[in-house]
Amino acid sequence: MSDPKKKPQILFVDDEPDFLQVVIETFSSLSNGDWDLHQATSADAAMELLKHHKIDLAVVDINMPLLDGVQFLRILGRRHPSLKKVTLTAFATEEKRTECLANGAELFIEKPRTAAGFKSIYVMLEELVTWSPQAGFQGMLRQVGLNDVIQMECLGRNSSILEIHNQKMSGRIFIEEGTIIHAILGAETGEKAFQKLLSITGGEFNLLRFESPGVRSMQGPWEFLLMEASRVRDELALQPEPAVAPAAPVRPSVIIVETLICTAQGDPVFLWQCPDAPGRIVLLQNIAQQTALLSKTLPLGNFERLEILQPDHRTVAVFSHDHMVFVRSASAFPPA
Amino acid sequence: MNETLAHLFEDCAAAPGALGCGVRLPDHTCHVRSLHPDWPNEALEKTLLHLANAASLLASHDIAAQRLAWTFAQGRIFVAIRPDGAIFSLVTQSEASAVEFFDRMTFQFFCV
Repeated sequence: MSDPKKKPQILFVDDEPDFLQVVIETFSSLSNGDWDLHQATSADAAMELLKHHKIDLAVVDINMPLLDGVQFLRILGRRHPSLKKVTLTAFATEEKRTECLANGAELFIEKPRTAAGFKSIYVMLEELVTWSPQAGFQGMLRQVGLNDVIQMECLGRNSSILEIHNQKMSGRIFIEEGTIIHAILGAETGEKAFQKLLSITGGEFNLLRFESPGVRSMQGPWEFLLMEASRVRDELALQPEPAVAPAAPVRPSVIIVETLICTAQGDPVFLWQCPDAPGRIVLLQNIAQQTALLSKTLPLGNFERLEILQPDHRTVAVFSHDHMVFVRSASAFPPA
Repeated sequence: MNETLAHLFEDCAAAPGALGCGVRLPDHTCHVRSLHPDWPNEALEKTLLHLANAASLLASHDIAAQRLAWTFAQGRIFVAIRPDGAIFSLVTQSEASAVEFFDRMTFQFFCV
């Protein structure tokens, strides 16, 4: 932990209250009260608790009723990217182990049945909760990185501040209701600052509560801002290495794989890595038709966009009165 | 409608800005619940049909979606699609922040 005075905040999620009671008492004793222990008997309760407490480590039973533990891991990874996760189960299988580790769990362990077992797990958890990465983005884990967080904040129309820093520089990106409105890096602001922040290799980022920056230095759809930042980052990557050895490189966690902009009539305006542009235009037109049927059925007003989530891709189709936009991105770390 | 679905719908009623919800099962039977007087069940059933058609349309373009979110000026339609083809949908007002709630409901739906 970076702050030696701060106690590790550890959450146990298990539907068996008796087991939770034993866990809390045992780990409280083993840690000599140095751990702050929290408990939840359901995923809902755990999510609620995570809203109000800065938890460092969640230990999750994957065999709770009415709950797919792997799905829960994914949601935890998306909602709380810096949270370390450990899965606990009474029925361990190699298949489940592989699945949990592929979905963000740091450890997959069997429920202890003896005092020695509890002690062994305590040592592992203590090691995990006090370990801090020296390079790379803290909280990135396997599948969630800076681009991913920005996408999620924008898609969710959230308001937040992303604070990004490494040993040499520090900056902030302001997102208000899903729109990137401002970026600052030293004396630079706007898109240049944004692009440089997204080109940082090695460092950390934190998601902070939104506060108005008092200035707006950026505008335009976030998809394009991210795409342009990716292009700039790629260009920077092609430049000669600096004399001073850089920090460990971090691969982008999300890669935009395809972009298409066309008029409402289907005439292409901009294509980037779009191997089947006619097919995509037909798809956009079909979505528009399907949406017209939806609009007739439900009084929801003008259609704005459709977001499509797949296990390894995210697609956004944006519709305005004169243009249609199709942006598809992929995780750089696809599930194993 | 079985008890589990009824329970799912009861929970949906607590979603921020919820206007209606529904499930379309693989055998094409629909179960819906309107949560707003201006939104009759018939409209929700039609909506489920259009959403199922949209999912098929995407699949025909090699986009096998797990989740969809349609955003309109005055509302959002969240959709979760199970591997067996069953569809769960929640319609909310646009200003409501129901993404996290829908994630939790999707947990339940995948376990039905």
